[in-house]
Amino acid sequence: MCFGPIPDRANLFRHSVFPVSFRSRRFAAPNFFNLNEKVHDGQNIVVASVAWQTYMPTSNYVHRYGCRLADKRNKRKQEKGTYKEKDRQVYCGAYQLTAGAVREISTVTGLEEIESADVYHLIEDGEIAHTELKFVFKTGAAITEAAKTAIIDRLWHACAGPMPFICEQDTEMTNHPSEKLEDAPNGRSENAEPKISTWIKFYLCLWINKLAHRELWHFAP
Amino acid sequence: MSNIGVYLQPLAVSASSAYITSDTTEESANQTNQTYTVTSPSTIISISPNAPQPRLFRKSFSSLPIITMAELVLEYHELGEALSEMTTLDDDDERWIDPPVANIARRVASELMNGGYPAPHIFNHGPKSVVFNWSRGADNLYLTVSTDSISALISSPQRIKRRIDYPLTALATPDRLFPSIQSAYWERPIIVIKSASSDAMERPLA
Repeated sequence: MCFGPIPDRANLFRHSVFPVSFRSRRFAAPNFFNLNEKVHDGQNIVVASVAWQTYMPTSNYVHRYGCRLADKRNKRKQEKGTYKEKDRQVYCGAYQLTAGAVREISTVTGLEEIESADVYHLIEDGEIAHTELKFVFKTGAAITEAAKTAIIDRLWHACAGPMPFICEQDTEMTNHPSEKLEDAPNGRSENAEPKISTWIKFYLCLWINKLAHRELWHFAP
Repeated sequence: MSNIGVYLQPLAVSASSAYITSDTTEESANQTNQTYTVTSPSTIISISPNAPQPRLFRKSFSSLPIITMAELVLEYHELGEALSEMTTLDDDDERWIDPPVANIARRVASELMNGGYPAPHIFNHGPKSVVFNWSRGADNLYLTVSTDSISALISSPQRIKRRIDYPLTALATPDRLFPSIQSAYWERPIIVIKSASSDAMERPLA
């Protein structure tokens, strides 16, 4: 439920955050995924960040995560002294996909260099819902930019949505970039109002994680 | 089946509309020297050396929208602008791309425009490459451009249809490279898939 493998049916959300200047109609829809490379035990790994619905029981929680994400990036730049208004990060909305769809990418014809694809709950930057997508390449297989494009293509085709949103700090913006979010290939996202059991699971998981890590996380809507 | 014939002259992808000049932008059907010049001392990266003279380029795709030269220039101008946006971000920004990658992407864009191809959409998944993307119905063609290779990926919602990797040297013969990718995308017989470069490699799909 809170620990162990994330079930295939679990909903994940990828938040779409862009610099305020990104308004060109030439940007393609999959632009909201970012992949990072790692090496672990001699194997090449590509990772991406999403958020797990178990810790975001309503769409309000989902969007507040996105607003915090943009806010933190802006604050980091301000602290570094590199903040520019035109590069201000703006949260536009979220796309939904399932853990099972991510795992299926390891069996895709045409991506034979990938050994496994999986999803791990990994609290990061104080965000309890943060979850990592992990694509492990076969031993000796190099990570190529072409393979990363293929991963993005499959992730995008697994996505539903968007769920557009305008954060409080962006309500004054004219032509908010959320208007430009494209429909995902997998239809509309479904984030129905949670049942009582969802709330029970949510608070139980929060409590267990709190006991295990003795830390405070961002989870409030 | 529609036919379009336009005279093209070498063009470059510029970041600023201020530099677009169109001395002879009349779009008369009888016009034989339709010339659009994009000049910017600071932003021109590549002008095709292989097309010094205006040349007639014919296309006949029933599935391709017919666009005017002016629209094509505008679309590529927007593409150049988008590329510039990506390079001017901070290097810790997810959408930032390495300047050498942007330079090669501009060169590829120039060659595509010289060839009369519709302007792609773009995205990146990290700083080491730029991805050009065309959609046709539910199918997608991606060209991943990095500092050492150009890779084509053709996909449908259900599967990856083809992946073809080219070394960057294939860009020296754009009149062979892009038609071969185009043939693969439109599922026409592949005639020159290997002729763009002897090093071109198509990944066999099971």
